[in-house]
Amino acid sequence: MSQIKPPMADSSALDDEVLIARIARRDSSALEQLYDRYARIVYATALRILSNTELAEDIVQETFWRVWRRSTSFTVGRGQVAGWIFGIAHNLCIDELRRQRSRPVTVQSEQDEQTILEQPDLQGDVVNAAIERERRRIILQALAQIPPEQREVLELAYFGGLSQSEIAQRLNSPIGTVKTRTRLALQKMRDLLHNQKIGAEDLHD
Amino acid sequence: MTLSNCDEIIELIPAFVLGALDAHEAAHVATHVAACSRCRAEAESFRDVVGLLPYAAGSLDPPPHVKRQLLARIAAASENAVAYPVQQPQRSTARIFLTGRWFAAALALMLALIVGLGAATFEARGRADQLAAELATSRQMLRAMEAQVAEIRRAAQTVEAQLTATQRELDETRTQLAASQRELQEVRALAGTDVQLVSFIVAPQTVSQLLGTTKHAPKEASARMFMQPGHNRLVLLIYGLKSAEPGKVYRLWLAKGDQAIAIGTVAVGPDGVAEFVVDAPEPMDAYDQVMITLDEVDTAARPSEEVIFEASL
Repeated sequence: MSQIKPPMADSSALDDEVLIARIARRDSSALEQLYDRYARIVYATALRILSNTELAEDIVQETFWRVWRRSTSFTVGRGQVAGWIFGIAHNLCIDELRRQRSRPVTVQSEQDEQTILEQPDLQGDVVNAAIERERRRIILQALAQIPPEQREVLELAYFGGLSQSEIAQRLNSPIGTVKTRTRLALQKMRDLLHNQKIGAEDLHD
Repeated sequence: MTLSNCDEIIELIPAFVLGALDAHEAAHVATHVAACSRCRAEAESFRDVVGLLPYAAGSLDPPPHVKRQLLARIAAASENAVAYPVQQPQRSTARIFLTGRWFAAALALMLALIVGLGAATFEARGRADQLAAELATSRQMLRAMEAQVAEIRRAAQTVEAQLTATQRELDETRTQLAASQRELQEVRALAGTDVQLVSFIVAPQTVSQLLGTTKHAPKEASARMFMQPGHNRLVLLIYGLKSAEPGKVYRLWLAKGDQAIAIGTVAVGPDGVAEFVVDAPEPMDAYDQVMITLDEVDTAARPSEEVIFEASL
């Protein structure tokens, strides 16, 4: 992927790694900048997964707290900062979701669930918003190109926090089918991003 | 490096990078990926897709207080005030940091901060913790001992109460015993008197004399006197006499010429019987008259007019 050239001028990746290095030196203003850049994505994702504003706020705070604590463990050049932050947030969300499911009363109402393609696009500051819009366009475009049944398992896995066997139960499908759909969905998405030369690393190089 | 079960693992990698494997499966894949470069590369290849997925959810500014709280938390941690996060939202603190993995995260945070303070602080804290633990143990022991003392005290009180009760019973028994002994002595005295009386009456040298009644004596009243020549003893048996009214007594007199001597008072039982044994100042031969009067209690100087029995000796 590293050999693929970025399709657009984007200095945010370099900036991200600089910010991480400053955070590692305990520069809280750097964390503040990183927060301004990604908190709204984390918040929307957490809201999407948990359907609860208070929990989503907690996720945002805890995610960036961990970024502050773990900044030294982030390997510069190894990967994108955004993906690393989203990974932390996603893990926290899934933990919370599974914790909720282990309790008898479910917090989430299924009627509140929205599909991936229906999410509103909300604005941040101008430059940041432009980057966000571009990335969002890329992912939505890729999602639109995979079969609906593959998109469904992808959504249930990532935003629903369901395991493969839980998805199989939910869709009343054999687990083998679910595994296949998940694999095919992700492989297709990967290939689409590569073919479009708009891989995430390209966005950051 | 490629491991033997790569084909099996590679099938699971898409679900793995999405976080959609069960815990045991995820652990299995993670272990393999850490050791297998091919599978690791496969996992890395999906990183971009997964990194972009959150953008599908849109973007939304979190409320301003989230950032404020985050920065306050960082400032508090930086001030080495470690264990006391400043301006933490009560909601977040209560829910996130006290439950499940959140708690583990909070614990890890605290440990990290403690380490950050340096070895000296850590040691001091360790020592403080140890002392606190020892103090707690000592307190527990003290409480246990206090409880034992209280129990022993209660037991002692019970024993004391029992002892007091026993003492009281003993005292009562002693009193009863003393009363019984007194009664026994009285009985013995009476029995002794009876023995004396009987042996005196049946002795061959004893003479008896019936005393004469006066107009003051009840009709059925009679009195007999026993004595022995040359002896001072006198036994009197009286029947059919009423008990003396309060303030009055039956008194025995012996007279020598015109001189009457009060010998003693005669108690009459409820059955109207009186037994009286007395030793006179002189042998009975010295007296020439005997009488029994109903006197005032305090007039022992001379006999009253109310003579019940009388006889010349």
